[in-house]
Amino acid sequence: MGTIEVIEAGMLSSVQDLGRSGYQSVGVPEGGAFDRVSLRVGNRLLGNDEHEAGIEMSMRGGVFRFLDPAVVCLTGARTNDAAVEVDGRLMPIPHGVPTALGAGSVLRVGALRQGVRAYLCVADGIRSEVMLGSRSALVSLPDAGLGRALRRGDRLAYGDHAFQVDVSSTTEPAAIEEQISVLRIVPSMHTELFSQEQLKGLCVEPFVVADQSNRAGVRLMGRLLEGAIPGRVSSAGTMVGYVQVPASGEPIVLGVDGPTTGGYPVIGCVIEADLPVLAQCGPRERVRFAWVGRGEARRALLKQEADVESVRPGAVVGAIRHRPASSQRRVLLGCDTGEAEAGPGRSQELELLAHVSAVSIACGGHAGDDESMRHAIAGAAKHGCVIGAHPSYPDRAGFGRRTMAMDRGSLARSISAQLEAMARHADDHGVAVSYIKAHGALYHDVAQDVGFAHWYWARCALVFPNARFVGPIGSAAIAALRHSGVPTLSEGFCDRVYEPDGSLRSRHAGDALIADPEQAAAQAERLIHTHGCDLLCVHSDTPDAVEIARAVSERLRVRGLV
Amino acid sequence: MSWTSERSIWVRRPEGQSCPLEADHLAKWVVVEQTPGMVRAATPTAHGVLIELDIRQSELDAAWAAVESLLECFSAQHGSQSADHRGGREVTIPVCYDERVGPDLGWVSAQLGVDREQVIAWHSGRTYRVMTMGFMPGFGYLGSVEEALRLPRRETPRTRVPSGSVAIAEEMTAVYPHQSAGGWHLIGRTPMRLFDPLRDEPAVLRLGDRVRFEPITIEAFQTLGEAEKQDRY
Repeated sequence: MGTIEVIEAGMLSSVQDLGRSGYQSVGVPEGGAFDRVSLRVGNRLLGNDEHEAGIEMSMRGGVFRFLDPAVVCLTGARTNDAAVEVDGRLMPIPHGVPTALGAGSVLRVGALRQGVRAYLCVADGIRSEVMLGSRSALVSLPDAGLGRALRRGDRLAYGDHAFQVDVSSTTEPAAIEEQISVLRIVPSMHTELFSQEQLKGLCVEPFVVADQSNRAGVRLMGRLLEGAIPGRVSSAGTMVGYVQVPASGEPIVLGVDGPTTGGYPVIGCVIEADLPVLAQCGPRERVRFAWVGRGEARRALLKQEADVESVRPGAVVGAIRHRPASSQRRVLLGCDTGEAEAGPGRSQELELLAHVSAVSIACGGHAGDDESMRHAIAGAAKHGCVIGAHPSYPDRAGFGRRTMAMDRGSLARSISAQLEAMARHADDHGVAVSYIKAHGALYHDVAQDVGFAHWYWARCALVFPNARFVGPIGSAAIAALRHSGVPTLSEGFCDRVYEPDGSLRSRHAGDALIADPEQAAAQAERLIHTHGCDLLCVHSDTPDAVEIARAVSERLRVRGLV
Repeated sequence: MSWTSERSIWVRRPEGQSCPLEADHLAKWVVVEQTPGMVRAATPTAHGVLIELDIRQSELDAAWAAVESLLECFSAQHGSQSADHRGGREVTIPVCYDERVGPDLGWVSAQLGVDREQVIAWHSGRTYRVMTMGFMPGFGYLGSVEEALRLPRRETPRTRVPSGSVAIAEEMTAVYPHQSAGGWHLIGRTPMRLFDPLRDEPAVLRLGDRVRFEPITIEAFQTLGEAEKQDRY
């Protein structure tokens, strides 16, 4: 369970989900996000259930400190001014892109444009108290016990289990149609009480949204309707979208927190598909009404639903992306390390460090412990090597070479624990972790299953938002994550034989390994030139490892590839 | 039945008559008996029920037909006779009629040219019916007030009416469940909490309930107020 601290609440911010039903009969409004579509899209991009609660911000955003890691997504009204502050530097947060934040990040959302309501969604949702079946705050009546607007100092919990987001596809989010402020209306309760001139007149000139508009209702100023306005009518149920005309002749469009019954004549009703437009109407903005039929209203809704339902979880990006320290090198030569017990194996690991430029350090899943991590980090730092984390299925007995049947929650916890241990030791040494490379069976499972790769990377990005993803050259995962904007390194093996189709020859085959150093160096060149390999790997547990590393390193140096 | 948008149907019944209790029953019936997922809300008032539909899964004609058959079932089960003759729940609300908690009591009596006791006797001397729920959670419009006690609303609404305030305006009387703005005349206050989301039935009042006001002293008001708080925590 994570915690968000409200540092500044902005103009009006509150927790909202999709509202509460079943209590309209005793005067409780439906409430919920005014722009339901934006909240739903935000939740879908994060792989959340659509009903999860987010923070609705009006006019101007707030400032929120995340005491724990989180993946967030901003939707609804746009802003030029959403950024996360890390170590005193501000990094922009893109709109509609799941973004991983490290613990201690401060998220600032400034003035909103293209609408007046933005949504801050969090993976696994905000966990404020559920009242009458909903977390939605009835901000106009803090006294009613149904929540209130956020205030400075409030703390909000989010997520109540290890992330179980099942990212099953990499489809880009459908561009939700840019909304223009036309509100389509259909005939309603008292349409026939108005004259034809009045009904036509409603759509002639635009109205201007009044400053007093809020979640209960959008008040419009403009040309009064010609002729007498029908007087009060007997009380009847009301709902969001109803266009009421009080004696003044200036319409009020009911919002999500509006009264559940009313006695003003209702000239028309804004169609459901246009309620997000209504929600985004800001003070002094101009809006126009247009009459449509009920059939068209439903078709518009179905189209909008199809758009919303096409939104799939997006790939998570780190809020901060800087080039790894080694970016001037064109290709990295790496080895896996921190896997051997103290003894001969470890001295070979140390010897390898003299020839490689990157080390992938085991962090306790298949091998390694605090002592070996510290040792490997110190060695890498001494030789100026780039450091990568090397998590695995938790399987020391099988050295991480078996796919473990475990639930996503347990796997998420294990990966987080491994990476956090690595982060701690790297911090202690004052070095950065530049990439994350899964080990053994996890490496292959991630490489082949794009959905799993997105899920895995969301977990990794929580701990290392700036790190690069490492996967095998030509793998589905590399293509998918790169397509989603995740920085990647594609890896090839100098000392393993590749099949003609680009796959690795099985270790069970007798001739899977390349033992000849020159042959390995030639393969390295091929991998770089024909497969776009960024990271060459030498296994540290083969007898010829040091000689191979020396030969490859020399070849790269001669060719000017390092 | 008539459409009031592409996603809502207004059920007016029976023709023209005021039948809050039947409307309340009908609204509950519709929610319980519906094809799951079809009805998003059913809001009853004295003259009918507004039914909000989820129209993503069904064509408009099919939704209309489904509501129609729900209503037929309801009529068949409940007969044509209105349930309103048979009553509705009885609710007694204790009220302290005192200037200290009902700041308009003196003004109202002066305006009507009667003493305060008369105002109290009129207000507490009859049984009201919850004619509409609305305005805010737990707020019931109760009718109707003794004719001699009817006054227009205040010209300038108060920006802050304390929760529990008992008020009159025109032919209606009501209790403000929550602190809010309000334009009615405040003649007393109840220690009873009319809305509490932590209770199984959050609202004390439902449409069609019969309501009596029982005068209590300011001491009783304070004691009951304390008890109510302790109940809650």
